[in-house]
Amino acid sequence: MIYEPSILAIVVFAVFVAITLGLSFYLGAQSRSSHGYFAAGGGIHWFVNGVAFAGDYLSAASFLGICGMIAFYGYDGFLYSIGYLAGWIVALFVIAEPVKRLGRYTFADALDSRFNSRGIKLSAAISTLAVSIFYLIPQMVGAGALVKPLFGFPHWAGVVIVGAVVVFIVVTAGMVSTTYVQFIKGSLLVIFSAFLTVLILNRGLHVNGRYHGQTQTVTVQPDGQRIVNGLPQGRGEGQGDLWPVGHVSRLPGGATETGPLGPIEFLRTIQNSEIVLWSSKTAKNADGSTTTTFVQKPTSGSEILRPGNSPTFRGVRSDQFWDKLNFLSLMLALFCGTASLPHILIRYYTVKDQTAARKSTVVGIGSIGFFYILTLFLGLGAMTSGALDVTNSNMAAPLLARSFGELPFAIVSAIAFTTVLGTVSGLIVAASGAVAHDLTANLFAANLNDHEKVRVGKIAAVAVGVIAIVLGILFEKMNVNFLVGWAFSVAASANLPALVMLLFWKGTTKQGITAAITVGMISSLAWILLSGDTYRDVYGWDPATALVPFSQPGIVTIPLGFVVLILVSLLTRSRAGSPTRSVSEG
Amino acid sequence: MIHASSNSNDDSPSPSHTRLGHGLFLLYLVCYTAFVLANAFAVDWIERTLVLGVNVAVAGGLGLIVLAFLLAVIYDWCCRSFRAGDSRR
Repeated sequence: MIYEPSILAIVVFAVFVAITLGLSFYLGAQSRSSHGYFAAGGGIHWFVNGVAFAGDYLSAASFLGICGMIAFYGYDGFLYSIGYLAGWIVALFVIAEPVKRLGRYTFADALDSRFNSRGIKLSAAISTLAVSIFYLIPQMVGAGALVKPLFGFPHWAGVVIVGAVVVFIVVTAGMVSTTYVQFIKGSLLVIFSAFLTVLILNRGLHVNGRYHGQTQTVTVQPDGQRIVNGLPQGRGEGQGDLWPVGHVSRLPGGATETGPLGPIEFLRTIQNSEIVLWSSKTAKNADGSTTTTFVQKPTSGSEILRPGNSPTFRGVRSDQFWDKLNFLSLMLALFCGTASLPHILIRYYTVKDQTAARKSTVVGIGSIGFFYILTLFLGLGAMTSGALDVTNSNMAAPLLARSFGELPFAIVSAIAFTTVLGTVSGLIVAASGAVAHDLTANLFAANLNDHEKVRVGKIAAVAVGVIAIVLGILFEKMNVNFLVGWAFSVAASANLPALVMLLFWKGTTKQGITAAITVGMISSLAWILLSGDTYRDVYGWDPATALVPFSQPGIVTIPLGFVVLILVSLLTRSRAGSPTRSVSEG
Repeated sequence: MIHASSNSNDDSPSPSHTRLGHGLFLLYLVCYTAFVLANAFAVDWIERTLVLGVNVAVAGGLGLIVLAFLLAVIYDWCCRSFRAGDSRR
């Protein structure tokens, strides 16, 4: 679909950027020491930190990806919401307080708290960089994907704008400004999502009689020209465009509209209605062009609100055990991944003590959980809004907002774009901390003073920002959710076994931790690169020839990390000497 | 700007505090595992309407999110009670 760039969206976004940059200048004075720069001096209030957790965690994948997936496939997108939120239980009950107690700047501090091992610092720093960069790519790709329809700029411009703004925020005031950017973004995202949900419920559901046709086609010719429904794509004379989709074809009891609905009533009505979804099929033509045909698929509400409609979760309806295992593996990675993400873990060092770490996690769970409940209403609201672009699920939330008017569209678009800012800034702080604090001191054996650490951190932030910009441009065509799945799997496989065993097993040795991080990181990356999804989406090969039986590595590589840690620790225990107690005992 | 005092005090978790956290974690783990397994192996069952006219899949998903928040609040409240008790002793 062709989108009209919104001047209002540009203005709202510019105001937000101006506020955050002003804040960065103002807060820069508080970030001169390394503790100030990397951990905000441990002086952030627990409530601010809790909302900043939401700003850090609710990335473009959460807002745009989940809403889009629910709008296109129903309940399957909500499974991501459930998995992402469940991961916070691990963070609160298992990880938060010990990580705060044992570390100071990075989660490598906690892992290394009783060993003073170069190997642990190095492996944890490399794992932090790998996870942060994997997580950065989809954020940057998301920024580029948004900027074109919303602001009318090319993909690379969106990536460069986000990269430049974030690097500036991080370099000027490090974790202090990053925290307040995330606080503002998290607050805006949750508040406006709630506002949109109220609008959806107030509008209710109605049967839409606008049937433009049963199918739509998009042909991309070898020279890049797009033919839409038989006409060159455009808004001029003799040109055509895709029409917006997403409507209810039947309401319970033969009603034509419901009027305002309560939240449960809305879900119940959807479950007993029939909604027109769209399926697509792409074929290569003899002249080298490709044609994608979109076909209407009237679907009962009960079918929409059960798992297995999307390509990602189709396996749950399969008789093949491997297909179901793929789903189980993803849900395990989501559960274990949150408490292993370096940019989430470093947020525990920005508060003063363990009590504040716990309280901020509770606030984080409240705000993130509330948002994830709203995603169900936003997604289903978009599904029935009559405003969807059949070719682009990522635009579901902004287009839903547009169905209520230009101002909500401008605000939601600007928030969607700034969503990327908050997450990217957290990732860059985590990566720069790993470089300055863990990698430089251990790999290059450099003994840096406080001022030098901050300077190295700032240089690392610029370098990571530039790498993220380049990768964001190169990976333009990659699926955003797919890449986030990579980051969760790698984080859970590399970091969680080491963190958990350090806390709960007295026999853990430094060699065991180093081996678990290394094996978990390499095995999960290798599994992903040899999986059917990567064969199809990255290499363009037949997924049936993939070397691993299913695509999500977590169910194999997370237990593998635990097994490696236990075996290596047992083998090296006599040399290392038995620790007297596990660190979870205080 | 809301900033906390940077004075840190010793607030290491007590054994009962740690036990409670692990117990609540196990409770949630059981619920989450049951929910995920039901989605994978009992699709027809979770399609059934359960409460308030909403099916098991949706009710269970919303329930898990609400349960996470409730357990978090209970944990925080109990930890504060433990600390208050320790202070009195």
